[in-house]
Amino acid sequence: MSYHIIVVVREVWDTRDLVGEPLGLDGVLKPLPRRFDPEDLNSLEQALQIKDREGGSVTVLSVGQPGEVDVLRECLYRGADEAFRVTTDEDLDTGARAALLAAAIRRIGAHDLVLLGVSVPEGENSLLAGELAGRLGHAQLTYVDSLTELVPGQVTCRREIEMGSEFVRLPLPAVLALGVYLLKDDPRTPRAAKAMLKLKLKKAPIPEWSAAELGLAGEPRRMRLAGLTALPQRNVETHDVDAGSEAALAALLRDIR
Amino acid sequence: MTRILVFLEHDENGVTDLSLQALALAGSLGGEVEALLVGQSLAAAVEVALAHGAAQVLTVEHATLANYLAGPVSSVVAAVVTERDPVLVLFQASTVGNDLAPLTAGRLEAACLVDCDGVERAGNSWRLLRTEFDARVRAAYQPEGTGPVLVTLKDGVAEVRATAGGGDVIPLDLSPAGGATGEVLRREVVKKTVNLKDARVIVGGGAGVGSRENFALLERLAEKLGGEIGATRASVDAGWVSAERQIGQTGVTVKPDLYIACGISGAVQHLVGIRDARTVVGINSDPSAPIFRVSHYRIVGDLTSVVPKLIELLG
Amino acid sequence: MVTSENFYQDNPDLRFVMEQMVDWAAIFAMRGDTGHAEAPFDSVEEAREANLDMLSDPIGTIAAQRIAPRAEDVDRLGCRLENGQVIFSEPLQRNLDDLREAQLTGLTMDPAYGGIGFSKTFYSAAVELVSRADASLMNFFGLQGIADTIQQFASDEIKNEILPDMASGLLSGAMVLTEADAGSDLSAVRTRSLLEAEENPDGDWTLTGSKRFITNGCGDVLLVLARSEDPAKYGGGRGLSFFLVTRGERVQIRRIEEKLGIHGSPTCEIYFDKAPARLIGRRGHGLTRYTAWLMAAARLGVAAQSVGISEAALREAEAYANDREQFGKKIAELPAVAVMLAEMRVATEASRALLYATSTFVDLQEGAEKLGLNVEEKKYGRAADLLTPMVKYYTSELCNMVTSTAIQVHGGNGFMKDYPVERLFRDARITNIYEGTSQIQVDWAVVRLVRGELTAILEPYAGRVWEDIELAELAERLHDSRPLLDQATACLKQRGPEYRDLMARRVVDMALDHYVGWLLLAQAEKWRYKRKVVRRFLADALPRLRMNHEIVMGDRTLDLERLVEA
Ligand SMILES: Cc1cc2nc3c(=O)[nH]c(=O)nc-3n(C[C@H](O)[C@H](O)[C@H](O)COP(=O)(O)OP(=O)(O)OC[C@H]3O[C@@H](n4cnc5c(N)ncnc54)[C@H](O)[C@@H]3O)c2cc1C
Ligand SMILES: Cc1cc2nc3c(=O)[nH]c(=O)nc-3n(C[C@H](O)[C@H](O)[C@H](O)COP(=O)(O)OP(=O)(O)OC[C@H]3O[C@@H](n4cnc5c(N)ncnc54)[C@H](O)[C@@H]3O)c2cc1C
Repeated sequence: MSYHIIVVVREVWDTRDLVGEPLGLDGVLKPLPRRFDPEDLNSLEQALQIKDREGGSVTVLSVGQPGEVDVLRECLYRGADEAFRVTTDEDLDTGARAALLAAAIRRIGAHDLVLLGVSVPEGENSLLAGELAGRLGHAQLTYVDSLTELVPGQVTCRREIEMGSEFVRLPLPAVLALGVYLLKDDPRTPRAAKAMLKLKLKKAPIPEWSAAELGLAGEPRRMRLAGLTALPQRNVETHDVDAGSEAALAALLRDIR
Repeated sequence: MTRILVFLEHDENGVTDLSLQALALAGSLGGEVEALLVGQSLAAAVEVALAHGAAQVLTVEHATLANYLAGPVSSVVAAVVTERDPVLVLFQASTVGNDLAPLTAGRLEAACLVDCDGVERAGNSWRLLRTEFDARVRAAYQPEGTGPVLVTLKDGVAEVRATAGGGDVIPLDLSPAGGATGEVLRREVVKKTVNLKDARVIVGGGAGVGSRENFALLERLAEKLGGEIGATRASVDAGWVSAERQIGQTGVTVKPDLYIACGISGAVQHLVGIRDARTVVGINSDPSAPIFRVSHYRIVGDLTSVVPKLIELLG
Repeated sequence: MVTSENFYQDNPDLRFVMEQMVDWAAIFAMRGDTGHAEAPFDSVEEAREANLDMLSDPIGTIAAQRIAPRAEDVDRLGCRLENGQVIFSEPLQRNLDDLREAQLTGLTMDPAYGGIGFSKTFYSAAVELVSRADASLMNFFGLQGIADTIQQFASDEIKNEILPDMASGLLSGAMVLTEADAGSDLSAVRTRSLLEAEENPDGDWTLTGSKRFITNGCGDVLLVLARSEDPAKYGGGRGLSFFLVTRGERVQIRRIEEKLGIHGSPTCEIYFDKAPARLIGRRGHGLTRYTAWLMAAARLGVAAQSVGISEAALREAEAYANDREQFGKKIAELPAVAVMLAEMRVATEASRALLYATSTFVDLQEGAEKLGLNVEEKKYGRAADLLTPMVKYYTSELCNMVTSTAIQVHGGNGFMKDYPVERLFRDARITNIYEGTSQIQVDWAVVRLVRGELTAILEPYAGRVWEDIELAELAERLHDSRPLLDQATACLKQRGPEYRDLMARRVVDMALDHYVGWLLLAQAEKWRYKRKVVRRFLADALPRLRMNHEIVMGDRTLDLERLVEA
């Protein structure tokens, strides 16, 4: 049995090495490096593993022109079959982005699964999944840790919830937002780009669709970013404690008790 | 009068604490607060809602709604929103609320924002506050247009407040939209037996602990310090420790005086849960582990040798 | 352990060398990567970007994110021999799977056989990156020269049969040269290859005999050096041929060695029990042509491995020294520690400069050979022949110094298995032994130095004008050292073979100090930071060069080296 899977991918700010003042004097966020949303990359890996195992196809989809990372091309380098870019000039809110993606997914046609990452720190993609499923009329599941069974017409997932997890069976097509956390050498670790594909697909054209081409007149904006303020950071003064020194450890215990 | 609808989550322990916080926040915003309960056998939950500031409690009881699942519940919530026409709908920033609110917004093509830690009135509209970028920035969002605004709220948005009670209960005769929606096959959740939230000392263990046996070491350390064991999702998933001890985004948020992080890398999802710890001690073999950025004491070393030494020193 | 996400991106010096120093345009042009209708790339820029991009991802990412975190386990678990089968540890197997899945197993092989067909310069960088993550894995990753040798010399039939599976990583190889009595002196190889004339009139062979210290001897494709000719007629090296043996019942792994380092690389003793073999190339050319070719490639590989290990050790030491406090300050701020860190850094960057200069000559030579440009082939070939043993010697010796100093910077902690420098130090120790010991490299190099083959390499610097005053002043000092080098070389020539062998290392060191000085000076033109590096380098190199000069010009004899109580 083969499955057609669409993975929605994006580029995100890389906040991991964010140190010091996050905002410039103008109150605007200082430029940060960007990266392939790691949760989306995990989703892509899930899709590719299903394809490797069961056959079918993986189509990737993204909104907007690439900034630092061309996420769509990165997907092709890892073995995605097709990529489509939805172009827009605007900085869209999530609802408008979902509307574009829903139209593009309809254009792509028959599919079994739409996967994307649940981005926890900002919540944004967990929102996108819902908005997308709502518009497509698909079943949806978020906080999906793993797909435990996939059979024609049905998928069973393990979903992480407070105090444990639940196993949920959904009809296909379904939108799944994955929040995979990886242990060391986890078999779900995203694969690297493949050297040969990289050479071959460096300049492969990626079809682009504008909102107009997708038959959308433009979605009204429903949410606007009204301002950013820096939050006072708790200044942590770090004391080093020598792991090898009993005296240092004893002093630590005196300090903290 | 503006109407605020609060979706209440409830489980075998009753209405969740986050839901009661949402009710309290709704009350503070001024307006008519309606609570919505969806599920089965709702009587007890209705009483709790009425005792926490809901002017009215809407109930939708249906056998297929017994176990939460986004599809059917959202079809019901969408119908309620359409019928009651609230200006603001509050959910919880949980695996239910963050699942439900966006789907409902998608169905209604309404404005939605998840993970907010504050809602303020701004003229006729709202200012929605959210911490972003690894808790370094507070972003303010402004909904636009006319429809309802759906928001999920994080732990700590308001103090739970008991009120005099009284108010109407309005059972709604709605059933989930038909069609295949899926089903919850089983839940594996643990019963809550510890109260990490109030623990003064927590010894947290991550993937670096490496085994259940090593976790016993952390238990001994916690015991000596009169504290509790906490965990990351990685160590919960490895099966070394029960899920109720998971701290962070999908676990509990704690505020101990002392948090000792053993073999924990310091992923944001974990750090959000310990932000209010007074003193953090990090034990990690990787000198560049992010946990050290929030540690007051930094011990670079193998926890299997450091922890036993600490236990020994504690006598 | 110092963690990183990408070993290429996090390495300013490697990036600088790749992006600004390597003459890609020349390499691509000579190799035919660009500049003609069927060229794989439309422009130099495009080809360059494809090369650098590949170093960054997948190579830099896999090295940092997958291989490096497993290095400690790979070292601890080693390899086992069970019932004649070599068993890899799980993390090692994962490393190999990762390399294969990312299609990194045919980097230099011709695209016609499913390879990527990139240059040696690129490959050196790839080996450096992988070795920084895990030096022992280089002994798999760095064996791509075996496929290259087959591609270069074997029949089409063999090539078509074997190469596609080597490119895809399905088959791995080994170079099977050393015997118990034939190490540095391979002409003593005894393994007899017997022509089974009756059974196989079309010339198939069988091999009998044992080989030892064979890296990945459990591999599928073995290139074996064996005696094929009657020693009475063709003795020594002239009696040796090169054979291809594929894994099978008649190839028995008798033992694997317990070693000081590179535990992730199985070192096998093999017994060939009338193993069927196929001749590669011409009879009697085994040592002089094919082994020499294969060894040259492997030496460049070991040089790259050495640079990778140095880089890893340098980083560990720098991180530790900036972390550890004694006497109320970071130890990095103590002058004695600062000196150690500077020595390590200069050694690593100097090694790298020489590695890529040499790799470039190798690429130019191979390209010229393919294009049939005889003059260029000779010119670049001479440079490559001289610099290859020099770079192998230089980088491997420095890598031993750097890893040892890294332990020193760590103090007692460095002696413990808890810190990666302990493993790096052990792994480093093989680099100046295998693929020819340092002494053998020096032997090779000195003969060519005495023949005057450095002159052409130094030519571009001889008449160069340095606009910048600071650089001009440094160039002056380098110029001043040249006569000393020339005198020492002339002296060796004049005083005969025994004196030459006695002083070989000193003269090679002089040549290295001089030439690497120029390489670093050229770097300083493009990056301000490098001015400090070249100053620091020359501060030691020039006095050392003068000292070596004095010793060579003096009157030491071999007798003075034989210190035995009467
Ligand atoms: C939707 C979603 C929700 C999530 N919610 C949560 C949540 O609520 N809580 C949570 O914790 N995580 C959560 N996560 C997971 C989170 O992203 C991280 O994966 C997780 O916190 C990592 O756990 P860890 O630090 O134990 O493991 P790792 O990141 O693997 O870190 C292990 C650490 O141990 C160190 N170590 C190893 N051996 C030793 C030794 N012998 N001695 C000392 N140190 C050693 C290592 O250096 C390393 O730093 C969530 C993820 C997603 C996608
Ligand atoms: C881990 C490991 C992996 C190996 N992998 C392979 C492999 O894959 N394939 C393979 O064929 N071989 C392999 N070898 C063998 C390796 O190439 C030889 O060990 C090496 O060439 C030295 O030979 P030897 O050990 O016989 O030392 P010897 O030749 O006995 O040398 C002993 C000493 O004498 C010095 N010496 C010898 N001759 C001279 C000379 N003419 N001038 C100056 N000094 C001299 C040497 O420098 C050394 O110091 C491997 C060895 C090891 C340890």
